[in-house]
Amino acid sequence: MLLELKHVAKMFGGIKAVDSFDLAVQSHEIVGLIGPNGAGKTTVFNLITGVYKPDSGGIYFAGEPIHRLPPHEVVGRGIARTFQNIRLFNNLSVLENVKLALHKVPSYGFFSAMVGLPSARRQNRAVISQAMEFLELMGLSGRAEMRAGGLPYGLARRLEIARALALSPKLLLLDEPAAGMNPDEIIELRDLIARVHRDFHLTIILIEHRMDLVMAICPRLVVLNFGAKLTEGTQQEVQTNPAVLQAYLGGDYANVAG
Amino acid sequence: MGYVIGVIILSAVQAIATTGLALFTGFTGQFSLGHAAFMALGAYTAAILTHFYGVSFLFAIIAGAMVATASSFVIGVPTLKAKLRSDYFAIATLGFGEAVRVLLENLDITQGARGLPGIARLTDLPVALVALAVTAWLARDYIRSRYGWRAVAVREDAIAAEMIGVNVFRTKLTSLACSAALCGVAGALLAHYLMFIQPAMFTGVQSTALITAVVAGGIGSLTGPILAAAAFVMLPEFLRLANMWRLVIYGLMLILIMVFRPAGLMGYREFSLRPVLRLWQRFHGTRTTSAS
Repeated sequence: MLLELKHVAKMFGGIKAVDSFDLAVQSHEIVGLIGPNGAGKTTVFNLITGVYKPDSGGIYFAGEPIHRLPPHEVVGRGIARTFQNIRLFNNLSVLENVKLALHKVPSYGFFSAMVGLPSARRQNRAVISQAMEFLELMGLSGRAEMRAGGLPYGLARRLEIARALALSPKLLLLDEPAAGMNPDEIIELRDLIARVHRDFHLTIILIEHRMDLVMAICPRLVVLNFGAKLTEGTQQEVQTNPAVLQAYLGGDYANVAG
Repeated sequence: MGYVIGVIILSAVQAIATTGLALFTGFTGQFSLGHAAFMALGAYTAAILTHFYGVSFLFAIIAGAMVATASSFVIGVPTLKAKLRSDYFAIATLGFGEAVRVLLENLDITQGARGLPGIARLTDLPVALVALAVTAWLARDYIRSRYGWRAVAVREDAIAAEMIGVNVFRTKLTSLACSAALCGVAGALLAHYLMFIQPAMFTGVQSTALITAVVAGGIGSLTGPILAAAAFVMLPEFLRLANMWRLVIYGLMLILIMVFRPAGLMGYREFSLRPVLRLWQRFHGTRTTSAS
């Protein structure tokens, strides 16, 4: 198992945002995390990345507990994420957004940086060409010098994924990457996710409401409702599960479906 | 002539301290209303060492920078670890600045509020200008290094910075320590130019002058704050002609900058002679050096 959540629970005030949640993700898998609004999907991401600490239960990445680590150390272990409402460094250029994510790549120390040793400068230049490679991969190299905040929506999503990939993660968490996209953009996004999944040997957990995207790339689905796991299984199993239909469509779904 | 050189030296000293604060405010996005305290600690440490203990000037400056840096951990570790929101942090630094001033007023070795007279004049024009050049050079290397990248990431979006693996606490603390060191150097140079220091020179007024120069000069710029710091030292001297109106003009200028250039004069940019050179070349029709 690459990632394991065991009986994870998180309360906000009196509300159980996540309740005794179990999740096991194999290496190189793409898992879809779905459920109605407010089911606790993003909270699960925040728990995995260390933004929230679980009230009880444990989170294990590659066999090691990570639920006590601060977010920046969780990222260091090899978990990267994107945000539901895109979080780029808007005032910086597209290139700089990826460059900053590569801050761990250079090996120089503080004093060689301050003195401006040639080796430090060489490493800085190497990082910039590395950042350009990520941009090329995402089809953003033509806009490297543009302000990130001025990117159209679909490209901003791509840049956020490029920045996450620059962290060379083992596990990538995508939080509603297709939100606000039209069907054509979703097809592009689908191909993009499939490509990075293959080329970077990634494991991916995808939160998404757009079922066309979920059904196209996630062989296995986990359904959350009111913070608890409703069910999990293959697309077929989940689609025919009465509890899932009830959660999405309400108690009288049989009448709705006719 | 001595007067003009004096103004230039004071400008350079102020520019060094402002560069320090620019690292912390302009590049890491943290506001401080107490950086004069680091100048005070640098000034007193260096002055006491040269005056009472006969330590050489260079070592006194380094010691001043080190004491200022050490004190930055005293204020920085608890406040930054507690993740104080930026306005609360600014208030904490305000308190720190006052605490340092009160401390200096009550210690025996600093001779209290009377001040410390008779310090040797060791800061001259070359010393001040070389110190400013070294400061600008170090600051530039800092912001171009990965440490500077981390600082910029924290300034732009602390949550996104965490999510690219930046240790926000350590990044802020590093920037604070660097800025304190530079303010300490500036204080040491100031003491050995004025030959007299007293705690009242390092009050909130001085802290405000520093933050004003950084913000008016431009967030995310090094050359902007350096130019602004020098301008704010020189301007009142020119405005002596206008006598009673000079504070009004000074205030008016700040308002105009904030209205027309909210990001500061050089916000997110650096002053460069290249555009000027290019214009000059076009004007004279020389294309021999256009290869660069």
